[in-house]
Order: sequence, then structure tokens, then C-alpha cells
Amino acid sequence: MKSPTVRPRLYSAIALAVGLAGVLVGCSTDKTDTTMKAGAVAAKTATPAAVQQLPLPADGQPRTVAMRRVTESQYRQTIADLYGTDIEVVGRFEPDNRRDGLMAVGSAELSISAGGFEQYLSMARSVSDQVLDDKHRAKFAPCKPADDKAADDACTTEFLKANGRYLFRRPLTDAEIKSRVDLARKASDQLKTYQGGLKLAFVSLLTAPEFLFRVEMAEADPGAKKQYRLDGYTKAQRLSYLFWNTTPDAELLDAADSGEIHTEAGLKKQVERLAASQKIERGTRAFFSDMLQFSRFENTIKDGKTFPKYSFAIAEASQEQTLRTLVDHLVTRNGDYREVFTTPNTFINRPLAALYDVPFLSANDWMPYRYPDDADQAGVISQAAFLSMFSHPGRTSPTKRGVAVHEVFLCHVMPLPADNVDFTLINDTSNGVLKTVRSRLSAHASNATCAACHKLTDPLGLALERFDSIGQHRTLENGERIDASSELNGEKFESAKGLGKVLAKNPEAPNCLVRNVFAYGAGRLPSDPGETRFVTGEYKAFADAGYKLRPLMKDIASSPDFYRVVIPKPPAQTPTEKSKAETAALATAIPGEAK
Amino acid sequence: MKVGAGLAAVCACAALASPAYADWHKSYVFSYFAPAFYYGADEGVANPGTDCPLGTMPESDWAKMLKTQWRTIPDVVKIMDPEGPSRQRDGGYRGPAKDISIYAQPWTAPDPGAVEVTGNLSYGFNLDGDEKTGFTSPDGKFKGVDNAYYKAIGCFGTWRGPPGEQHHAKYVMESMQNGSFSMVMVVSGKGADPDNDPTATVGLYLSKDKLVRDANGGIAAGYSFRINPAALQAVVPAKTVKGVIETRAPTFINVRSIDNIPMKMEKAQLRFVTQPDGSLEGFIGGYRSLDDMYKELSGGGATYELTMRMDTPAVWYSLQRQADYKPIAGGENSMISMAYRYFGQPAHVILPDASAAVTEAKLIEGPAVAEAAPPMRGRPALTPISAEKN
Repeated sequence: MKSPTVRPRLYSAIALAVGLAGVLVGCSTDKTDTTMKAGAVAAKTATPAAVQQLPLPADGQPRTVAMRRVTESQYRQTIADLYGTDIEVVGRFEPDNRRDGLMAVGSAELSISAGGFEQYLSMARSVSDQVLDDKHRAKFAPCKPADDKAADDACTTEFLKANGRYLFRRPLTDAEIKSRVDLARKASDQLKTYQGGLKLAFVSLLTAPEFLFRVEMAEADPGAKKQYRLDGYTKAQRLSYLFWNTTPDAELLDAADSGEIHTEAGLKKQVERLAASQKIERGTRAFFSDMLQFSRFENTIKDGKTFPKYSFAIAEASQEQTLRTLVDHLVTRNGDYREVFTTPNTFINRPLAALYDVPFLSANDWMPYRYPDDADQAGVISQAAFLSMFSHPGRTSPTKRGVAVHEVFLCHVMPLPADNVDFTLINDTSNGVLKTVRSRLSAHASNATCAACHKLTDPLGLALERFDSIGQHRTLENGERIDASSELNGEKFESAKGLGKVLAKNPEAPNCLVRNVFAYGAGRLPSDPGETRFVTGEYKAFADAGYKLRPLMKDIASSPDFYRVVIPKPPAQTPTEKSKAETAALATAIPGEAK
Repeated sequence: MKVGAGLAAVCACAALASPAYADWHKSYVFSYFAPAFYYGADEGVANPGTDCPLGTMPESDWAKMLKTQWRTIPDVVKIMDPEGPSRQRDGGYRGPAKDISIYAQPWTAPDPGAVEVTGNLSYGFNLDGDEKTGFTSPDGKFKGVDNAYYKAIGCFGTWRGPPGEQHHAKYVMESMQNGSFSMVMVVSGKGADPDNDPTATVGLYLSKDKLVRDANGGIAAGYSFRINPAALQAVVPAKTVKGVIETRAPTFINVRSIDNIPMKMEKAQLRFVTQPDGSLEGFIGGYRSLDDMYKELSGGGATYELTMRMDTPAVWYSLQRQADYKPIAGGENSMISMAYRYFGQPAHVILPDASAAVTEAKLIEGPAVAEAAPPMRGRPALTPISAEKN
């Protein structure tokens, strides 16, 4: 008999084995899972900008067309939705990858490192321990085993089926269930407890690639000869993550089970249901957190000497302010998207009120706030989140802010500065002659090489100069009055208010949002002429509907173009030995690509 | 803090309720306050200096203090055992009889003597109008500064040190900075020149909202504080002269003292100056009751004696010696001159229901504050010292 002190180590070893087994088990046991390895390779080597329509291969079998690693917020939301908000998810998530402006797009290019897997395993064990503890077990594992000290295959199977459906976003295959029942049995035999085995089986679900990645599957389309379509579960998860940022609920999965989701009416019914729910606020928050690049806050630091007021609380609150502003304007009030650049309405809490130097008039944590008519602030670009993210730790950067406006709100791709640029002058904040960043930038841009880019970026950023590196309003820089006037394409404007008006009437801003909603949901930019036509058509539809977000999401999610099956094409550049091998693996794994 | 009504431009509901009666106002939260004692040494917190040339008062000899006629040496040893609770429990019983606590009846113990301040510099106010008596302010601007409290206990170790380093004040202020209480000030007035207004008003209040530290461990500026109407508050007629906020005439100020006893300061004056960075610095000074001062210094009993390293009867006798004000004409000196030094940050002071910013210094309605604690056991307040001695 093993001593109690040995058991945790044994538990760890088994858990690790089960977890790793979960990663590998499908490769040799199940057809569905066989394609995952190929999908993972494809995901790693994908170049989403160059894609082609997926032909129907000879075997007509379903296959993986994309694997998108779930984001931290999706992981947390899923656990909270399935098991309650009192289940703590404690751990470090692997860094996400931003591509084409969105992490939702970059997530299709991510794998999991060994270190990252250890974190997922640790979180899975923690979640498993909590969900199956005395407080929660009866709710989530109601089946009572015949013997508490021995395996019970029937109860384990019941648990796996019930939970696996939501974690894998589809029913588990027999092989997926059997492999975990076997592991649970072995663990129970060694640990002499039913619960020990069940916990390990649960851990294996939570560490499986089918949970950690949103696996998108294609199947033969009965309505189109020799063509694939996304399967029902893939459609269900696209809808669920777009609208609610979480795993599909029972009704969505039922619609996928029955095939109802493939019908126009069935799809519309689900889209309407999801869009009408209060949970759309979560989806909206997740989308804008991604689009506005809030992940940058992980690396946003400020010089405490220069900005003593800046704190973790203010960093958190500033993100929340912008999200509350957007949800309130776009979802609650069903407002015009273009007005997010000009709206005087927002929300503040006590730390933000201190940052903006206004009284906090509420006994609650947050209060609605309207900028005075004569204020410099208007819209989300004048809020602390945007202003602090796109600044240096100790000073503002009109260039960074200008680039961000171009990239985030207009979907422009801005060139990187040359490697040999001398920033000494711009960084010299104590320059006795060139006291303002405007004057230093002007001197810097006298270099013709630099001027080309700064001409594009700086006009937008200079209009925001009345806000310091953490978003506090100011009128002076080093004792000199700040000039926030600017001009772009012949149009003159001043301060954030003027810039907001310029953005509000720029058609590229709403078009950029349409592109981003599509890419966020589909996990890639429009990939072929058909999709490009669809998205271009949506620009007009968005405008015709008054630039309302919810109708836009519904429109995109209801369209067959949102579910078009495309497969990434291997990179076109000269292949290295490594990429040759990966391409060969890809070609072997996907029958239609073998030639 | 911004001046003017612009601050009231918040949500519509708040704007409607905003009582913007004053033409201008400024508001602050205190980040630190402590008895206004001048530290005469160049470094450290206990070095000999111009204030205390002999250095900080030596620590008490507990063995000697505890040995009374009725207590045996083994009992003294037992009480002093650091492992036991006896010193906290029995440390005060060292009077002429077993049941007399010298904390409650300090006059029953002999005067152990005290090292008192002999320097001639201190902060505070010329309360008696006589420039020939009292200290000179360290910057030389004010003569006849009355701060007898400093003279009495300024050499006690727990009260020595440069601003921010006095041991006891630092302890209480850390508690305040960590959220145990907060104190705010509103200055308002009429006319277009906030720096020169002969009819300004200062309001001093306590708040329910906690102080917030900034990135450097200081107190962050700009936060909002709701007034607690159930707590002490004082509204003081004032004036501003070249930006300096001062009382128009000596008055009565009753706000929270450092040890949470109502200040009840007679003939009080205040003087505050806004610093170039927007922060606030200044003083409130006047005469306080000897009994109140003694309560502040002895309220913690043996714990205070141990942590503040002082002999309580020595404090009592020193206060009696230095008392310099007779509230009753012809009576005893039962009050003592003193001053507090304050540091503050710009803040927003808010009505108790958070409906609007306070833009005028005035009494804020709410339940009355509870009266001060009853007089010390066994001794009525303001009893002439001579009667005790007789």
C-alpha cells in the first residue's frame, strides 16, 4: 500500500499522462481526430491571405479546416458559464497572436508550447478539483457510483457525455469516451477512489485539443455536389463565440445535432435568439477588446515619477470605461457606430474620476458621465484606454496614436519605421528650445525619409496632444501652450473633438468595422472574391441600416458567405527544409492536396 | 483643484442638485497631519538638536516605576516578564495603593520629571498676541509663536523627528492613509479673486471614503470624498491674502484630532498655503484642554507607554507645568497652546448622498455627532491643580 504522501505525486503523474494522452489519443483511434494533426499543421503554416476553395476529396470524409486556440477570455467565460463564476481559473495563459489587427485571426496560427500545456494542465486540475468537490459534485456529477472506492464506467460515461458535449462543442465520439473511461478506471484502481478517476477523466477533457482549440470541421455538402460545407457544430460555435464569446448552449448544439442550423430558417432562428439575448454584451465586449488591442495593457507601463496617479486600478478601469461606452452606445442604445468617435457620453468610476479630475457623484462603483459641452474630450479616442495604450511610459507619442487610429479604426496597414531612425530629438523631453512634442516631431520630420510616414500619422496624433501619456487633460507642455490643431487631406480640425468628427464622416471607419466583425467571426480576412464581394456588400448594408452593430452582426452571421469553406494555402515563398517537410505533411494529411 | 463651477458639469441629475452658491471654491484631502513640532537636529529622529540639546528623553525604567511600597520585587519581575500579559494589565497600578491606576489618576504618582524643549524655534501661531513670549517660526516670519504642548512633550522620543517621521503620528497616519479615516477641507468665497478674498470660508470635514495611494506611496490627488455628516465638522470664517488662507479672527475649531478625540480648540487660527504643485500645506493651532491632551497621550495605557516609550505621569506633570491658558478668568491654566501641521492634496469633496460636489464651505446636514468621552475616572475635568495638591 502506498503512503499518503506518495499519492499526490502519483496523481500528478497520472494527470500528466492523461493530459498528454488527451492531446495524442485521437491520432490513432478516431477518424475525426485523425484530421486534427493535419489541421494543427495547417494552422501553423497557414497564410490566410492566400486561400482557395476546398475541393471534395475522394473519401468524402469530414475534415478539419481550422483550429483556433481559445483565447483567455473565451476559456474563462466557458468555465464560468458551464460551472459557475465561483469556479476559479488560476493560471497563466500563453500569449495570443495578433494578425491583420485581430487576435481572433491570429488565433488560427497558434499552437501550444510545452510550458503552455503545463499551465493548461494545472488549470484543468484546479477546475476539476473545484467542480467535483463536495460543494459542487452533486450538481455536475449527479450519478452515484456503486462503490465510492472503485471505478464506475457507467457514471463516468454519463459525466463525460454531459460535459464533453459543451467542452468539445459537439458530442464526443465513442472512442473519445472509451479512452477516458479506460483512463478513469485505471486511475480509480490505483487511487482506490471513484472520484479520483473521474477527476482525471475530466482533466483529460479540459486539456484536450478539442477543448483548447476551436476545431472547425467541414463535411460533404448534400446540397452542392463535390463541395464541402462547415458542419453544424462549427456553425454553432462560430455563432456562439461571435455573439456570446462562449461555448454553444444546448439549443445551439441541438440545432446542430438535428441539422436545423443548416436551413435558412433554422439558422435565422438561432441568430435572432443569440442577438436578442443580454449575453450579446459579452460578445461585443470581447470583440472590441480584440479590435482595440486591449491585450497591449499587459505591457503598458507608466513612469511612476511622472505619472504618480497611474495605477493598476486605472489601467483596468480605463478598459472598462471604453467597453461600457461601446456597449451602452452600440447595444443598449442601438446607436450609430460613427458616433463612438464623437459621443460625449461615457462612464467613470472613482479612480477614473480622479484621472479626469472630475467629482465622482455616485454611491455605486460606476456612474454615467457626460463630458461638458466645452470639454476637449469626445468619443473613445479621447478616453484613457486608447490614449495610454498608444503612448510611451513617460511621454505621449502623436505618431503611435496616429498609427493606431489608422490601423485600429480605419484598417490601414502602416509601414514600420526604418531600422536606422534616430529618435534622440523626439525623446528629448527636456529640450529647452523644442519644448513640445509637436516642435520636436516637426524637426524630426524635416528628414525626407521620415517625413513620408509622419505626414500620414502625425496629424491624427497631434490632435490628441491635449491628453498626456495616461489620458489626463493638459493645456501646457513644458510651460508652452499645446497646439492641438491639425490638418489631413486638406481638412482642418482641432483636438479630439475635431478628430472624432473627421473619423465619424470617414466611410473607411464603418467599413473597417464590417471587415473586423467578419474576420473576428470567421477567424480570417475575406479570403476569395466571393467573400470580398460579400463584405463589400455589407458596407452598404451597414450604412443603409444606420450603422447599427447588432443588425450588422446578425446580417453577417445569417449569410452563407460567413460559413464558406476555405483552406489555407501553404506559403508561396521559397520553402526551407523545415517548411518543405511541413508542407509535405500537410499534403499527405489532406487527401485532396496530395498531388 | 480647478476653480469655478466647471466641476459641477457632470451628469444631469447632479448638475441640477449642485448648490453652487460660492463664486469660487477649492477642495483638498489631508494626506498627513501631526503635532507641529520643530525637529532641531540635522538627521535621525532622536539626535540631540537645538530643540532638545540633551537629546530625546531617556526610556522609562520599568523596574523602578513598578516597585512601589506595596509591591514586592518578585511581583515586579513577574509583571515585567515579556512572555506574559501582566505589564499591559498591571502596568498602570503603581500608585500609592493597589487599586489606583496612575493612568486614571496620574497626580497620585510622584513627578518623575521630563526633558522639555529648550529651543526657541517652533511652528504654530501667536495666540496671545505677545511677540515677546513664545517661539519664533523656523522661517523667521512669525514671532511669539505659542506652542507649549511642543515645549512639554517635544523631547519625548515618540514625538521627535522631522515631518513624517514622528513615531506615533506616523503610526496613526499610516492607518489613515490605508483607509481608516479621511479628512477633507473646502475653501470657498465670493468675488473673482480667490487669492485675495476677505470673506472666504473654510470647511473641515471627515469622509467615509478612503484615501488612495499613488504609484510612489503618497496620496493620490483628484479623488472624490463624500462628507460624513455624522462626524465632526467645522466651518471657519477666513480670508485669503496673496493666496494664503487664514482665519479672519481667532475662533473655535472642533474637528478630529490625531488620536480621534474631538479637538475642541479655543482661540484657534489656521493658515494654509497652496504649493506650486497644487498640494496644500498649513497649520491649525489654538488652545486645547489639558484633560483632552492627556487622554490622547494616555488612552492606550501600558501599550502606549511601551510603544511610545514614555512615563505617563511624566507627561501629565509636564503638561501641567507648561499649560498656558486660563479658560475661566482668574482660574487655573487648564488649557495648553499647540498646533497641528497638515499636508493635503487637491480632491473633490462631495455631498453625503453623492448628488453633487460641495462648492461652498458650510455645515452639512446630518445626524449630530456623539459628545466626547466622559471625564477621567476619579477626577472631574478642569479641577484646579492646586486643589489636587492640597
